[in-house]
Amino acid sequence: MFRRVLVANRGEIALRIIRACEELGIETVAVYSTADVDCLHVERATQKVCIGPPDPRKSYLSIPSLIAAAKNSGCEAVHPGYGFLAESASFAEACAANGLTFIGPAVDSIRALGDKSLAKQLMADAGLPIIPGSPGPVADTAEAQAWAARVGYPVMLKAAAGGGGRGMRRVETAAELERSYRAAAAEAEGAFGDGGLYVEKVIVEPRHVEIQIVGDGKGGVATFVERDCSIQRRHQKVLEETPSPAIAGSVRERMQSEVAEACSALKYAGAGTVEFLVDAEGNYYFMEMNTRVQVEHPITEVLSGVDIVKEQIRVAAGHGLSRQGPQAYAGHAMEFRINAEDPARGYTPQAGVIKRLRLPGGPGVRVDTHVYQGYSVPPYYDSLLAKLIVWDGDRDSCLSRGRRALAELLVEGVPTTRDLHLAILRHPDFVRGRYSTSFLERSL
Amino acid sequence: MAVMRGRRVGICDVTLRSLSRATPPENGRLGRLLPIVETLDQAGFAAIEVWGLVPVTHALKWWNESPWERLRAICARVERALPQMELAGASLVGIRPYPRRLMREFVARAAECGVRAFLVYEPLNELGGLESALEICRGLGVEIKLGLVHGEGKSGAARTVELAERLQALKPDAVCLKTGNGLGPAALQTLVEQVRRAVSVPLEVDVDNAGGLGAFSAALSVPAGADLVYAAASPAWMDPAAVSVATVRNVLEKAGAVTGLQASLVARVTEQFGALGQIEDGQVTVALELAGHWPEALELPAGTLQRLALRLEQQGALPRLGEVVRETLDVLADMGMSTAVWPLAEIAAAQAVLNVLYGRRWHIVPDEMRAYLRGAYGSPLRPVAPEVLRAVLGPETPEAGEVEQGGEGERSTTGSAAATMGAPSEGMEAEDALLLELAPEEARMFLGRRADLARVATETSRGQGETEGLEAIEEWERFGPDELRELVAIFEASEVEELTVETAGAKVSLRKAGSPSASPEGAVSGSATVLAEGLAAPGLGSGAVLEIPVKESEHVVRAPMVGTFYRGPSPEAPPLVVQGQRVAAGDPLCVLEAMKLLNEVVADVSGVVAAILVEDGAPVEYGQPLFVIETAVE
Repeated sequence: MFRRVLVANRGEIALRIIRACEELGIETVAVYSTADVDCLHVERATQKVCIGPPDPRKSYLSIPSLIAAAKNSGCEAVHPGYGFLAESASFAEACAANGLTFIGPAVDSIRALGDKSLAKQLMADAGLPIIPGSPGPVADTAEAQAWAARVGYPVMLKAAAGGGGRGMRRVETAAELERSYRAAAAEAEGAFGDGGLYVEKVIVEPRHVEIQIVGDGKGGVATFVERDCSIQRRHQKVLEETPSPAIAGSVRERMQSEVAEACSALKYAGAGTVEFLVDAEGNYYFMEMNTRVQVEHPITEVLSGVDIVKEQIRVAAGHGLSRQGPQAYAGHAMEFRINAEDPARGYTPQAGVIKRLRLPGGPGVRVDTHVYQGYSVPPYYDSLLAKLIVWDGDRDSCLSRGRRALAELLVEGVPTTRDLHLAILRHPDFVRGRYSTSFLERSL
Repeated sequence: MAVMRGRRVGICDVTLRSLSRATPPENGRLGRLLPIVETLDQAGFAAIEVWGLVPVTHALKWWNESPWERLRAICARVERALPQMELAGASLVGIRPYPRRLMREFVARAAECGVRAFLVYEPLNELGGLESALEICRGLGVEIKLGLVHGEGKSGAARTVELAERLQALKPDAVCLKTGNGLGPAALQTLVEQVRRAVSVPLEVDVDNAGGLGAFSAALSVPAGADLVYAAASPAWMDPAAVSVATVRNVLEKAGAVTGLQASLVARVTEQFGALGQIEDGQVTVALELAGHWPEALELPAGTLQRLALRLEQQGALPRLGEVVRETLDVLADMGMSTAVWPLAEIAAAQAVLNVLYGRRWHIVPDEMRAYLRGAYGSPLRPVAPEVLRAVLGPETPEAGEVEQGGEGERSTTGSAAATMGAPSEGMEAEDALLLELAPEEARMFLGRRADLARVATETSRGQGETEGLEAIEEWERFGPDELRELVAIFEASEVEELTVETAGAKVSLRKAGSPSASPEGAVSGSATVLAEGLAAPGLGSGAVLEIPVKESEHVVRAPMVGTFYRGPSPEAPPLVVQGQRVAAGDPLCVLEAMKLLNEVVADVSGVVAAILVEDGAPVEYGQPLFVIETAVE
């Protein structure tokens, strides 16, 4: 087992990693920018190293600074958390080149699964259903028409060379295709220097459902019951629950076994999440795989009794998984991301001092947070203040507990999304479990 | 030799000297101290040092506490033992000498707070100072013990005995022999015997723990004739400078003497003290252990050696401890002494640190040393080295052999500070006025904070008051059980009947029993009911970004990234710059290596490299000070 690990992140996830390490008897080294000198993760670690100014590019994203800090403080391994360099193949490579164990998958896995189209190809080869469409860019409008007819309208025309909404058009009928194609191609040419487009079926009113896995790098895989993360605003997850109200028992089993087979074939090492879009008929399509621990991992932990971060560390240290196969679960869990965002101003992130803080407690409540009363929320990083996780025997009890815990939560000094969560929990569609990724924008 | 069996000997406890210098500073706050004081008073000590030679500036800055409130709270809990306070002559409890008139004010205020005896010594045994101290104490009706500093080697014994005779003639309540170095039990015994013959008032012995010899020397001074010895109950690993009371008691009692101490209670004090802190500076502890083997370590007071090690560790220069210790002895020799006590030992040590880190002797000279060289503390036995006088004081240098006598302190720096402050305004408490004279800057900030607090208290007692003033009260944001204990102690010792404090995280209401607006439920037994709600989680201190003291003309070059520091352009190459070298802006100073990539750090100003603060090959973090460049050069 490692003696000392560098935590290459900040905030609540850094604290999460430090807690797992502490329980495993591993010393930790926290890194911090000058803006994070008062952050809780700095206080809890065994050692701390200041690595740069507030700008993440010069601190938390600076590979040389992180490697130097790790080497200088005698660390054997590095845990990248989520965000920042967690899915950077270059960072994983740099760690390996400098004798540091990267707590995550192999460099090749990160690289392959980080390439969206390559990932789809790999998963398709491994037997997972992927979103129907052309396997690569189409040659002209005629080929586009052919594929669109085959998969069924509506379809998306997407730029092969880039993303971010540029060179993308949604096409409802065959009549519109030619004109949309030309427009999208021109935009793609202008933005990325490459006008190539591929065709993809539009999944109407999809749900975002994902499966957590941990692999031991030798083919052994443990899978967990799916998480439903459809409650999103502008593609940012707001609330997650497990299991998904939309997945029936047979589908659940099938999804997990297909995912297990795919990840086993890849000899995946470490924690990962396989993300799917699920349509109204219950068909699921592979979207992408995240090769890191995710923000919402706690809801899986509380239902399964497995510590995902410890599994990551165990695998990286060569100790293997503590369990394999589909994992049992008990009850229902939800996570509410409490962000420092102002609902009155379109949820723009806010900095400020937390003048008063009351965290909920009691049965079935877990709070993962790096903030404390008096803490000054810096303006340079993401706005996540705390993750409030609740669980109980069934979904209704879980809803009730969620309302109770959110009511107990008090944050003064910065506006938060607490009331938004209360509103979601009151909404009849959410209570019935009937929602898709457009729920938030549409209903609240 | 006095007979030991059945001989009664008193022990004066100086544990608070250790507590007062504790790291981190929170360990010295009243809240932590009071339970220890209570145990101390039960333990059977003849006397208890209630302050411990901590400069007033530190009390105000580190603890945010008024010395008078602190003394009142402590003395209120010392009923069986004699509460006494040590003063280093005109420096009182600090380092710089104050005008003589302030000693009278100071002793008067302290006596009003409950101090019943003063141990006054002069660092250079200036008799004039001792005489006036005696006069002040007699005038105020408090006990006065006169301290006698034994500084020199064998030849010094004769002088010390002669001084003892002069002190006896003044008829103080006791004479206290103080040593600043490791004299050794045999030499000390001989000295005590000789002094005993000259002194008929009670004779006390306060030996320093240099070289770890303190406890044995103290115990063996009793058969030589001492009536009372000084010792402390602080654990050795927290304060290597403490003379172990456990050892003293054991040696004395095994020889049949009666100390009056209750062993279990003394042990409890050690336990309470130990519960305050962890070894945060393990490296310093090890370095001091090793230093104990050096012959030079015997020549300095143990406390000075400890503070030197702590200071060097902060600068990342702990490996140079040996060099600095040797330099301190050289500085003392230049100053005309072979050993010294507080505050002169501290002044010499501070000078030695500067001499070594800047690589030039007597180049940077603090004000206190200048004051010493001008004679503000008195005249040493041997003259100050003339070349040092010339180098430091320049054209003011008096003729060799003539050193100016310290006068009424017109040249004292605090005297001039008091002058610029102006006379204290009418209506200001005498205590506060004295604070402003003793520590102008710190007192101003402290009194300002207290005024804000009082204003808030008045406002909140009327209902929901404004809380903007609270932003100014940084200390009170950290409100926890210790702070609450302190608040109660201060409240009890004050005139106020009722007090409500509301801070960022707490609301506390205190009412004295018998106060007209006491709660209808009736007062709880004891003098104050406390209603505290919502105590905040303790504030987390900001991480230490390394600070070094620099003059205005000095520029600190800091690490622009985290990495490994190399003096040369590559790990094995010779250094790019050396101390004293002239550099122009843009010249390379060093490289920082991260991930096998070498990044040059260049000078951002022109000047002379005054100090190189990091060793070759050491890891540095972002923002860490690397070089000091002196920009004001011809």
